[in-house]
Amino acid sequence: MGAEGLNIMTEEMEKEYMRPGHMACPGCGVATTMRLVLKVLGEKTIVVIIPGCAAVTSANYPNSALTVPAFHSAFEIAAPTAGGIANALKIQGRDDITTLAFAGDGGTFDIGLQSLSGAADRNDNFIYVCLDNEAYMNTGIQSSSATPRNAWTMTTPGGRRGRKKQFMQIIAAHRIPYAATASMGYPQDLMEKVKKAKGIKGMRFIHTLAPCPTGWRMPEDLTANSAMLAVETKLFPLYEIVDGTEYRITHDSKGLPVGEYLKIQGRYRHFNEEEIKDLQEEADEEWDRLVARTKGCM
Amino acid sequence: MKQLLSGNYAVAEAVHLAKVQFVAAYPITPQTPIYEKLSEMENKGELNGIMMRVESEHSAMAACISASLTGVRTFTATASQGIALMHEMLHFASGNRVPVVMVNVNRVLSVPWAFGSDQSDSLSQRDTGWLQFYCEDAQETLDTVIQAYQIAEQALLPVMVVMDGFFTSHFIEPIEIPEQTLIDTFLPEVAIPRRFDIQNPAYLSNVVNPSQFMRFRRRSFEDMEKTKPLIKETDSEYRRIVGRGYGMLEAVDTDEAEIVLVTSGAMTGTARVAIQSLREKGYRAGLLKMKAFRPFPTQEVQEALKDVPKVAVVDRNISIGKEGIFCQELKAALYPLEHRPMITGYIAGLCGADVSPDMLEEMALETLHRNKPEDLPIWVQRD
Amino acid sequence: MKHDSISIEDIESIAPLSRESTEIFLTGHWSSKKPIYVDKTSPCRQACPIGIDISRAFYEASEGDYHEALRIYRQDNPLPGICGRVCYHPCEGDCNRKEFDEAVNIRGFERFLSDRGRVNLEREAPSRLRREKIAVIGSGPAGLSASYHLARLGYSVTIYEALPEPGGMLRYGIPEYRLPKEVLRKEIGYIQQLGVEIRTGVRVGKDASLADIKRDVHAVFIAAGAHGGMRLGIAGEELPGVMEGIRFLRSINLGEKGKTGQRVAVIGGGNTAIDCARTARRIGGREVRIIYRRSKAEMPALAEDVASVEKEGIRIDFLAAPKGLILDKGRLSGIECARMELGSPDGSGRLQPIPIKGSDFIVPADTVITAVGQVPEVEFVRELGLSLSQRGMIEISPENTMTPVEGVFAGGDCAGGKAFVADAIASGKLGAFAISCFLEGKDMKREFQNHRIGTRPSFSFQHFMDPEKDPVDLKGVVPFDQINTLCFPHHARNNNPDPLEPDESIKTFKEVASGLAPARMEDEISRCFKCGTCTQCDLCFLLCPDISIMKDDASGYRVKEDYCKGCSICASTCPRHVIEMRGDK
Repeated sequence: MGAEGLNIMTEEMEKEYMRPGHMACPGCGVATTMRLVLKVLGEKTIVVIIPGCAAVTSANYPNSALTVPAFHSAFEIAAPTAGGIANALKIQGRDDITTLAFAGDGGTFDIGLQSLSGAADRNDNFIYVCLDNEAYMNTGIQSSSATPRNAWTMTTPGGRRGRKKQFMQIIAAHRIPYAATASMGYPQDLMEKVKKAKGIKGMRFIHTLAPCPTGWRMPEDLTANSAMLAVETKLFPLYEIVDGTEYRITHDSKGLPVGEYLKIQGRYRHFNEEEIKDLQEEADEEWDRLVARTKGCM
Repeated sequence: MKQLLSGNYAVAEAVHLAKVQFVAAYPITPQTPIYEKLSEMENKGELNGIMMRVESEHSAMAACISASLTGVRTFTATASQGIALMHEMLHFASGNRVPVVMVNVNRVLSVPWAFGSDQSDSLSQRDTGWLQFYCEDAQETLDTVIQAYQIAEQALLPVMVVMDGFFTSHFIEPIEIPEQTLIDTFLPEVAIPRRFDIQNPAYLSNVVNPSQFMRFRRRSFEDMEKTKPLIKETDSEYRRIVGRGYGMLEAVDTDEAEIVLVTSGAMTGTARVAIQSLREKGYRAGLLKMKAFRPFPTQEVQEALKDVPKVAVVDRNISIGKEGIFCQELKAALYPLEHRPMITGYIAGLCGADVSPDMLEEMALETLHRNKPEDLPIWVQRD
Repeated sequence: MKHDSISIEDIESIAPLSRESTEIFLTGHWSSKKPIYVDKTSPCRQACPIGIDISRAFYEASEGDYHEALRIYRQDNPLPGICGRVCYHPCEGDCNRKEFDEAVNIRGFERFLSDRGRVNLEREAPSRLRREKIAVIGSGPAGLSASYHLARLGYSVTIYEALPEPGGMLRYGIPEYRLPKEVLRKEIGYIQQLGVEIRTGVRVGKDASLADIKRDVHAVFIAAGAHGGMRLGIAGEELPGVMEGIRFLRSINLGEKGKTGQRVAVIGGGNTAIDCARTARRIGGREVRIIYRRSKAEMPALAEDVASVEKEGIRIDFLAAPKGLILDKGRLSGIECARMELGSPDGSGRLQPIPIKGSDFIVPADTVITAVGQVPEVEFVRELGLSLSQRGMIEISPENTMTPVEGVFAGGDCAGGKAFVADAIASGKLGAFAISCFLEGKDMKREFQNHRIGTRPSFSFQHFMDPEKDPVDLKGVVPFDQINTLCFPHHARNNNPDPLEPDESIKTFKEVASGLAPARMEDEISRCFKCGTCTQCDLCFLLCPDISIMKDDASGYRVKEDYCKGCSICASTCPRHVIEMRGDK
């Protein structure tokens, strides 16, 4: 959808659950994403945050940027931490409180994958939001398995060899009730998905693309535009997976050429024609596969 | 009411009696029967809460910590590789000041791969800020687990109850299972602080600066010291209500002894036989059973051994590069004394290797007849 | 059991726990760049001769308030129902959406507002009445517009109209099937309800003297139009069967029963020629054709009207011009024409048609209608000493409609303005403005520059009347490259439907085009980018990573400068270029 009148905003959502004065870089995509997610979930939320940009920006003892209870857990355990809280709340009869876990791409795709898989397997009752800025940004831009192929990072100065992990496929394999991709470039779509997730019990996973001007070597005003370009070039499609099998695309991509997205980011500056072509093919193929899945062809 | 139970099943009974609300566990030999028994209880509706069947020990402790912060009574059990995997989380638990109680069933840490009882798994965690209690048999383990909840929830520090793999965990003995009503008198209703408060929200456990860090650490250190009287009081209370108590350590015939054997865990049972035999042979032999290891009962150890000329410490563990760990800690505890016993350290029974009464007798006599202390421990094994 | 040696009632002292707010950190100091919200001008508004605030009107309509949208249109244009049907829509020519997929159907929107919006004359009535009286000569679009704006300023206005009913070319030039008289009645009616008196059937120079009129008023605005049809200049033009186009249309619009032969040839290429051809088609002409001396590209008529011509079975002969008329037994039987080719541009900038030697051909015709240009019939102005140009236009200063005679202004077709309805309306508006400045002793040039829109010769009447209300940067026109097209999906344009089949429509004078259905209009409104007008879409508010843009009932959005780090995501993402960053980093 375009920018014509956001109709998801309720009076509840006018409130803020994040405060200014936090230490995120100017133009931080993670900060905006966190803010929007919390806006939808509201006051009765307990947040688990793990080391990464989200943690370092949202609190610095004794100051907190969040107005909901939160817990800074260890790097690889966002999922079982949230599971422990969710179970405890159930025991206490307080399961009107939403348990929410924020983790970066490192804490989700790499070191946290095992424990996330365990939580998904158990269908633990919480919402897991992956804040994907496509590298270990907080420690200074090192590659993760969410870093796209050939992209520059400090540990892949010649470009990363592996492809970006198809993470939603891993999640789908666990057959959890609800999974979706989202992006702060499309706030209405993101907020609708969080709202939908809030009303479902069991494990809910939202993979958000949270652009990082610092790490992507991009001007800091282009965060939202780059997030939109990622979607419109089919590199980061917006869709939902229900019960691991039903796919639904929530935003029809315009199919802009990937070059439009690459040219605004310094981490792709070294791309040659061949690499751009490869990436275009990859985007086209994965989109076609996604469309096939929406029609039930797995 | 007495029943024939293994140590593992006794632990399960203790967890049930303590009305634990949340269990997160992962199977590892020799702990698995605890996990299985609790699962059976849950299946029958006998368990008071939720079991989380996690995918690793690291996650088990993570879940226990966050559940505990939320305000429920938690439990987990593990051994060997499991507790090693949990290491990061053990620091996390004590740093977060949560009253988690865990049973560690001693088993050797690989490599080489093996399964027998060995204290190096639990002792490797001695610096993590947990309380540690070493139990001699299944009955003591059951009683200690229940006491552990009282201590943990008063001190807001996590407690580890340790028993020997196979010797205690699997061997069956007659166990007195206390009445639920007695335990309800002893252990209060769960009143663990609910640290996630919607009305008064706070961000727990975020980054601090160096001086703030030191202050928090020091506070934990001081609170651990303060658990010493708490442990004694708890034990007295338990003895009063249930009829059994163990103290922080147990001194047997140490008055005017010329040689004292120091042991911990299941080996203590063998040591009791050994000193009996030595006494019959005319030696003034005594036994010091170490139960509390953290906090280390320095004062009590000094009191028990200050007038003893020779001490033989038998460690079912080794810290490579130094010596047996109980021996190290004991020597450090006795250092301030004006007249210190001569201490010899022995390494025996690693990985559950057999330690017979006569082996212990030999160790005691060897120390008795020794005039100069040894820097390095003496390795004892029967092939 | 509680033990005394440890008392832990205060969790905060044993493990780190943060409750204090991060708001003590004034991160706004990281940068001096801060966003400001400035509504700007859309290119359609700049292109519109009348300077209508189109973007804002679309915004109000998108919020569901069609009446407010209509009110915005009527701030500058009292005749939206007319323009919404016949305007040549230069707005659509400059529409930013054109660069994205297709221009927005702005003309269809104007019509829709007029057809369905409610006029609130109370809001249009003057805040105070002035004592001065103004006379307006002519009730065509220029005269009506001038009268309307003068009445809104509080002046007392009387219009002198020569023909039986008001409207000028709107009534007597444009046929019913393109502009129903009902629309005229309604919109002229509003002007009259504001107090403007229209005296019809009074031809100045015959029934009344201009000097007499001028004596009784404080200013005169002459907007008598150009109702004289130019002659072809070929032999036989005075023969029966040959009609002048303006007179032909006037007679039909006066209600006289018009008649043509069966083979009608219309000479000319403007909208008058088109209307003559389509009218002839409706009153009996079986074979109707248009003969035009240049090519389709040069045809002054609107493309959609040319398309209607083709749909109605009227043939157009391009690059052909008449040389002489052919008689058979004293009656007109055909036209001798020559083929033309286009040479170099003439004075008007259009390519000069040059006859091709030896290319003569004959067009069979029993009726010829000439529509080759219009000239004013304003000899009466000489009474006041005004002079006329070679083509009969009243000489004025175009930037303010002033004639050399003090207190006498002129505009519209009779003063050489562009011969389109919108330009005539703009001219009337300029005249009202000039008269107002004249009567109040204001510096016309400076005032105009203040309220001017972009670089074109239109200005905002709203701004002139009340510069403080709804402040807009009138000079800041939003180009296409400042529209964030990422925020918009592609979508085809909604065109006004022609519900009748061509063979049905030519049987009547019923209006051919119909308005957009409400659902289609809503759809089309969502296609408008609303360039430069903040629509409260909330993107800036939601996307701020530092929660530094707040929603404010009074002013839309408010920036917390204490925390804004100057990242500029708001400015770069704003779909319609409302936000600017001020200050250096």
